[in-house]
Amino acid sequence: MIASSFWLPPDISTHGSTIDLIIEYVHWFMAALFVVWGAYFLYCLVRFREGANPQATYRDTKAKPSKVAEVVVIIVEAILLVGFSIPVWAYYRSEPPGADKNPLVVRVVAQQFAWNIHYPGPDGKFGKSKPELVDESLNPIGLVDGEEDANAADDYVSVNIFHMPKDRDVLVRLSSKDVIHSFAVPLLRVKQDAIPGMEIPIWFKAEKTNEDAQEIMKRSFDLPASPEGDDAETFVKENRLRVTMAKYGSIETGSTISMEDLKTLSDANVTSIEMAPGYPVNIQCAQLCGLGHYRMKGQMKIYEPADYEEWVSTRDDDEFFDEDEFDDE
Amino acid sequence: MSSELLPHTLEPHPVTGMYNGKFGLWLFLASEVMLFGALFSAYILLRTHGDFPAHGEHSLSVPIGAINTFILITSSVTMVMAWASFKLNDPGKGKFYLMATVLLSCAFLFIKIKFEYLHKIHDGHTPDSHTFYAIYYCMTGLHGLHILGGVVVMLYFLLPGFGLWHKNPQQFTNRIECTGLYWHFVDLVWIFLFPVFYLL
Amino acid sequence: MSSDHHAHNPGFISKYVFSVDHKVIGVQYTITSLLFLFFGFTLMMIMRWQLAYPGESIPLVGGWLGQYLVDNNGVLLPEGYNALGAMHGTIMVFLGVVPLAVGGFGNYVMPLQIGAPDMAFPKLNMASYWVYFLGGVTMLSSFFVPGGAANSGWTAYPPLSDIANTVGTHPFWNGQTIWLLAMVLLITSSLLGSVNFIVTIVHLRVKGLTMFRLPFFVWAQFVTSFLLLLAFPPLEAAGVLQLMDRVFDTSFFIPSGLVVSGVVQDQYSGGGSPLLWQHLFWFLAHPEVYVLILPAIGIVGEIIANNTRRPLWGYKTLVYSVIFLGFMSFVVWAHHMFLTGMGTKMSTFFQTTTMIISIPSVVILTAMLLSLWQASIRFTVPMLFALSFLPMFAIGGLTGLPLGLSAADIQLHDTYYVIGHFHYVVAPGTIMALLGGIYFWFPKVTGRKMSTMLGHLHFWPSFIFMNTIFFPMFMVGLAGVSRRLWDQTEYVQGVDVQSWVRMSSWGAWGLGLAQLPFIINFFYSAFAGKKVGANPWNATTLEWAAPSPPPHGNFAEVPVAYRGPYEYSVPDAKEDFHPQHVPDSQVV
Repeated sequence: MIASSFWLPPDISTHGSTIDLIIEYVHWFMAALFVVWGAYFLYCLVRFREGANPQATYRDTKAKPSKVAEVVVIIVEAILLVGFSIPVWAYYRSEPPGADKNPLVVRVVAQQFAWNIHYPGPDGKFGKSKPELVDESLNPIGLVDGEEDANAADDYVSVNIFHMPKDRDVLVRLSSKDVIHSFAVPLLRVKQDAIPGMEIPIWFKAEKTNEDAQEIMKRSFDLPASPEGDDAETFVKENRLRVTMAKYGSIETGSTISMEDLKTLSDANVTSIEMAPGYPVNIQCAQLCGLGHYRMKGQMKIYEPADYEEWVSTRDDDEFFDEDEFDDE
Repeated sequence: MSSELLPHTLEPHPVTGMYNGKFGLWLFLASEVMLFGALFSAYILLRTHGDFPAHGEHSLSVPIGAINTFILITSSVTMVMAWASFKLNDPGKGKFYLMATVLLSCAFLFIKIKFEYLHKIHDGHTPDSHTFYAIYYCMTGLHGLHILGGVVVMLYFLLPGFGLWHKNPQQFTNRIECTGLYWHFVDLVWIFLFPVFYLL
Repeated sequence: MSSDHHAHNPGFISKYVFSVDHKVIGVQYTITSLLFLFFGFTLMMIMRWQLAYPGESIPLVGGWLGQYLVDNNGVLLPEGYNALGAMHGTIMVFLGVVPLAVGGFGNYVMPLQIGAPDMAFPKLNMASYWVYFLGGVTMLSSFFVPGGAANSGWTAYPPLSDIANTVGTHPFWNGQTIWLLAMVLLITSSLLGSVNFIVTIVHLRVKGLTMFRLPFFVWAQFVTSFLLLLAFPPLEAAGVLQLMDRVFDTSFFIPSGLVVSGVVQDQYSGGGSPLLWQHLFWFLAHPEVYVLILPAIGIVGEIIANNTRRPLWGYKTLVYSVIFLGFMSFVVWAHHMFLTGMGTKMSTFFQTTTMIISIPSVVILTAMLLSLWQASIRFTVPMLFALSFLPMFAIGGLTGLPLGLSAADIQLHDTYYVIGHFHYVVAPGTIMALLGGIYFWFPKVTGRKMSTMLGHLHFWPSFIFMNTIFFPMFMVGLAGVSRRLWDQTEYVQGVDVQSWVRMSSWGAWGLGLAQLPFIINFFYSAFAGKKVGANPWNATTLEWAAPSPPPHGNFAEVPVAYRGPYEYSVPDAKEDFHPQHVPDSQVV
């Protein structure tokens, strides 16, 4: 677990630890192989340099160790493949969670350069959508109105913000309305291409909420020596995606740090603060999709189950757009 | 020319049993198999992908296709006759059969364009009207370009390239043989295209 | 086969420009592809500025890059970044490494190593170069058309590539369409070349040179040629289909109901499959990886045998491994597509073949390493490059394992980890081997040796900077940063690894500087280097039997091969090397 916790982002999903385990085992195996090869290689370079060994040997070296090494490689690869990768993939791609598990079923329709999250509403049925009804600002997925299809009446579309509860299976039907995108959530160990003309199912279950994730990802940051100047500006710029994890004087928990805040902190003689990402569980696009590929980002809002139910009951189902600070960020 | 000096320009190599040009041509045909193989695979994938029309909805004219098939098979025969004539040291007959092959190929292209392409386009069946027509124009068009390429090569051997016959009849005959191999391959492609697009 | 047939004096044009001599064509390929390599690398040095210092004006060159790449302040635009990325990949692979490894080294060295006077089809060889040249010029011209160069990645995935560069551009002369046309030309060039190589290797070997006496480099070129011959046509087919999608609005790769920027794409009939392109593309592009690496392995084999002064360990094993790699490379392509909605059966098949293909690579590397045992290693400049290839190729190969296991690929796919992986194979791997090859065969081509001091000044910084560039990418990838992002600091993961990203960038600029000694060495040594004889490295293979530089027709008298390619340090012999062409009576 040392390697994975050191390099990989924290894992908040139920299935992610198996993926991390494979990544970790492969890397240990690679490192071992590389060290053995490297040690032998360096030994040869020194021991058999021209000066130390002016006369090379003509006959073939007996190479039993190399045969052993090759057999070991084959065995380890077979174990990784049959013991880990194939079962994990089979699990990841196997039958989606059935109705008995009461999964949250959501459609995700990717587009240049946003994620449309389509919730079926209380009836649990998705309304139809039609390409000709698409309106980029009012109806991004071209959903028909409630009169034409009763299933659509209670549907809800959220842009770039994926609301979900923890400890419940989430089944995503992934598609795209223009080009190929890839739905990647590093913290949930989820990645799947969104391909126009196809609807691909993926599923996952989160073990932690956003707040839990922030708690894991919080770190202590030393404040710049002076609240003014280049260092201070760099500090603010580099930490624009992070929020404070405690109350520092007049600066509330969960706020981003501005130049004025630095001054306030400096006056209060605070030298370091704890911060965590403001949107810890981000959604990236992992497949080149055009000039806005880099800014095609969304975020997961993972709630405690009760908080999720509250969000469902308070959201305005007539509004397609969730007016959130995330959009203008 | 340095090519006159190279080994196996004329005499077959003991391992492959072929002279350089013939071996090279077979390799080229292998790559052509991969090219048309990829396109046939694309056709199968598009057809099994979903909303491809049932047979008959976009049917092509079987009689015209059959006539063209017959023309091409005949041209393969005249091509063999041309090579055999040069091999038997009868350049007059060889030129005659080569010319006949050229004329038959032109007839094929004329029928293809006049009675098929233009007709279909007139009916609104353009490449962007349906994936079936897209792949149809693409594959038969590429095949047509291969025919056109063959015609250009044959015309070259009939006119400026014929000088080689007087200098080195064996090398000239070898080139006709290679042209023939290519020609049979192009015919073979059509033999696959015809049932795939017209009959299935 | 004396040289009197060549006595007529050709003019300058037919001697150096439209030459049919494989050596002139080899040099033409080498110089053209080195220029393309440097150009493609320059594009990357520009991109690395934006990655290291997002949103800041590009120093030095920012002002001249033009409206399609930079804004008024000289800051790289996102679409400019995508264009540079697509062109960097395309130029490095199709205009740089392959033409250098196959067109340059293959053309120059291979006929000499088999004792042939020329390639089997000299005119075809010339055509192959000029079609390549035309393809290169076409590709570069796309920087100057309205809308700029292709910007959908070197993989050109549709539907993005189908709809790219269509707004406000010429319907035909636009970036992506020119890219496709240039690719068709480059593919044609490769096909002409590969036919020529295979016929030459099979038919033009001199007496006594059986297939199992061929130098390992010739075997590598032989297998590479088959890969080019059979893998490139499907890409040509795919290119034609995409060209039709772009020019005639067909729907090969366009599914029904596409809506782009709120506009229903009803000019297309729909009904196509975006995945069709990926299958056709990767059917080529995976064997292409071996086209990039096999000639390099061949070069490393030659240099190692010569500088260890002992036979290459397991010659036949190496040959069989290379052939096996060639075959297997046709059945692993879909491991690039694990995340396109693939089921368990398909992924099991492709990850199993991927694990299998790693075995011959391990065997090859092991054989090269075993060749060092009980050797007498001379650390010449080419040997330094060849030795550095081994550990860096090992890193490149090993990091392919987690990507080949589909479950681990879920996290690592399309991150910087992938970029680190394949660059370790082709940049610190192949390109270092190719540079070593230039130092090794330079005396044969010019009759002069390259400067050793400048060689060291080239090697050591290059070796260090190669690793400075690419090793941090594994960390960036594991941290979860996607590739092809104009500004990775949009994500908190990207901000966390920004110092690694800057390290890569500084490494890239350092690597650019480190090429100066090479450029100086190349031109200085060509005109004023130390003159050497026919066989300055005391090597055994047939190219060293020809004079340096070899005349038209290559050999003063046709050589005969009496033994295998690497008879070094034979016991009880006068010298520590037995050239292939010297009869037994003269060496023992």
